[in-house]
Amino acid sequence: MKMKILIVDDSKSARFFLIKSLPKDIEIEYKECENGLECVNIYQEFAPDLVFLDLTMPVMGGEEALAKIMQMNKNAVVYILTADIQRTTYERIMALGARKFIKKPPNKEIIGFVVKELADTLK
Amino acid sequence: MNKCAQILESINIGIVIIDKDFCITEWNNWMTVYSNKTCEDVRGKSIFDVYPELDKKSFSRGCKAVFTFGNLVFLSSTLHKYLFPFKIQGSNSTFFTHMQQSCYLIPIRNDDDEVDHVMINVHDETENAVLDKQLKELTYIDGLTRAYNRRAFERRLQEEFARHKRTGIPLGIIMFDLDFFKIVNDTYGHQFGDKVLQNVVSACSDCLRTEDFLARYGGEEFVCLLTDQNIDQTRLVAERLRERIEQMTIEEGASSVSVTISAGIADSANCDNRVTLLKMADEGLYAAKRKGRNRVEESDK
Amino acid sequence: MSNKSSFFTEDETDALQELMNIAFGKAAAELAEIIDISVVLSFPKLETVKIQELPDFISGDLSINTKCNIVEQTYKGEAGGVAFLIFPFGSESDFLSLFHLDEEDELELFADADREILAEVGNILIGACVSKLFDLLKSPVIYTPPHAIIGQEFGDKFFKGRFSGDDCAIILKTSFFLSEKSVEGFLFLVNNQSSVGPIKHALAKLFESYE
Repeated sequence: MKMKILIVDDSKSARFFLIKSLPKDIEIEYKECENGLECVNIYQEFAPDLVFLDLTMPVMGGEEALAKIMQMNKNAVVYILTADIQRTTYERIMALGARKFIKKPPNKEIIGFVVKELADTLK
Repeated sequence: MNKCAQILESINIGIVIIDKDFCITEWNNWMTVYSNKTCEDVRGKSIFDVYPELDKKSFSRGCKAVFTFGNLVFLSSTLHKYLFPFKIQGSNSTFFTHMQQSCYLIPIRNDDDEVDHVMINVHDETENAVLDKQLKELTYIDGLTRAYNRRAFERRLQEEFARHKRTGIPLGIIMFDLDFFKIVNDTYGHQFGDKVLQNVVSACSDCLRTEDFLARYGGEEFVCLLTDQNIDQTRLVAERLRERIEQMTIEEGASSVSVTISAGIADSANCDNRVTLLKMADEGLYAAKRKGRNRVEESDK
Repeated sequence: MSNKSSFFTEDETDALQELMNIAFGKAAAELAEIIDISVVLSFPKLETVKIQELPDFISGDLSINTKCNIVEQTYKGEAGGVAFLIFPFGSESDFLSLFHLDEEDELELFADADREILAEVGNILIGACVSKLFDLLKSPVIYTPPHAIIGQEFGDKFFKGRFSGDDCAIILKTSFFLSEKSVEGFLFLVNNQSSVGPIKHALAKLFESYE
């Protein structure tokens, strides 16, 4: 079974760094989008197993998008990937229902680990 | 001795190197001269054991920044006076008890480019600090009476009023003037007049707290700022000054002379800005003159 | 006035902004630890401007009155430049209360400490942002001591001798918010043309490391 991942970040490089950090040894189908609104629109249709969500984005930020996704699917798996690592932000986001809070920049070890960890539970 | 070691030992600044645990790894000759501790005495010891005085916010904040960001931190002598408590001997000890220092905290990197040591550079700024002190004195002290001058008063008033605005703590002001001073000058001469002014200032200083600020506003006019004093407290202080001056006698040959003052008082309670405060005190002073002198009055407008 | 970053490709610009974003996020978190104040940094922007237009560009960008407090600091390295940290004139008294000194450091009357404290705080803010950025670029820089100026207009004189007239400057810009006291300021990192090469090189290496 392919694992479906939605990657949400307004920066093309940020998406590039994340995509390149995804593990190669499991089958993954991913989609990219540039802001929270696109993410919310695409979510129902694509039905991803995992969303990597940035926080600071134009049009609709990650925090609002997270709240909307959790409304649509209370079991949604959303990992926040952000440069804003202040404690107050962390506490607010986790309270909204995010599963993980990962510091940018992404690297193969961390991303590989968290994706495989989730893949194991999906089998 | 190799060249680097010679430089380290002969350079005219203090050099100390510490590791991440704040243990001393280098301590140059300059430091030995002023501390009476050799490198052997201190090497391997925590800098806080050698000088507990260094255990303060600015120093630990600075070191943390150097280790985390690898930048250079400067601790100025104006803000911090000194890092290492080195007692001053000789003529400059009349100005300062300790050597005034500006210090740099500088990152030292290992082969992997990580900052694993901090170098402290200590510069002796005592000469400059003494000159600065003398310059401030020329700028802000009235040469005749040793009270603050008008320039100092303007600046202090601005600062104190801003503080009052920020904190809501009241600010009192007394403006006073010697009664019939022109007659004193004409009768006994200007030199005697100068002596009167000097005596008035020293008498007032005896009645004031250290945080009160007395300045010669001009001629025979003086002004006094009282932090954290409302109008009633200000009146008490002003009355105390008035009585003290009234009782004072100044000897001149066979005769002894007495003077009196008239004072206007105000406080910050109903003043939007510092100009109003000054104006209210000034109006009080004129009211005191009008009502017969040797008295304390508020503005009656 | 500013021609959109002509030295860098769109991808490079995007990557550089993303790196600044990461760097300044780290800087803010670590600053909060070191100076006990929460620091909010806005999303950073990258622009390219002709040197002659730089003073106008920067002062036009400031939403604060013409007089300001400025901390300037030079950083040297392959991609060296000058950092300007700009706060509104009048904020200096907030700094004194914000970055309290050691308890034992009683200031003398008329100590003229405003400038000194601005330099000291500015040095830490600049150091944090610059070091995190160039760490990510793996291009180390060293710093000269900071220089603080109170109550002046931002003008040509800040660039005299540093850049030649025809040079272009790369400006990395963010705004600061020291939240407790709500002191707002701007950070500009101004690099001249010669650092374009090293920055491109560093970016290429970064992209390669993900391949």
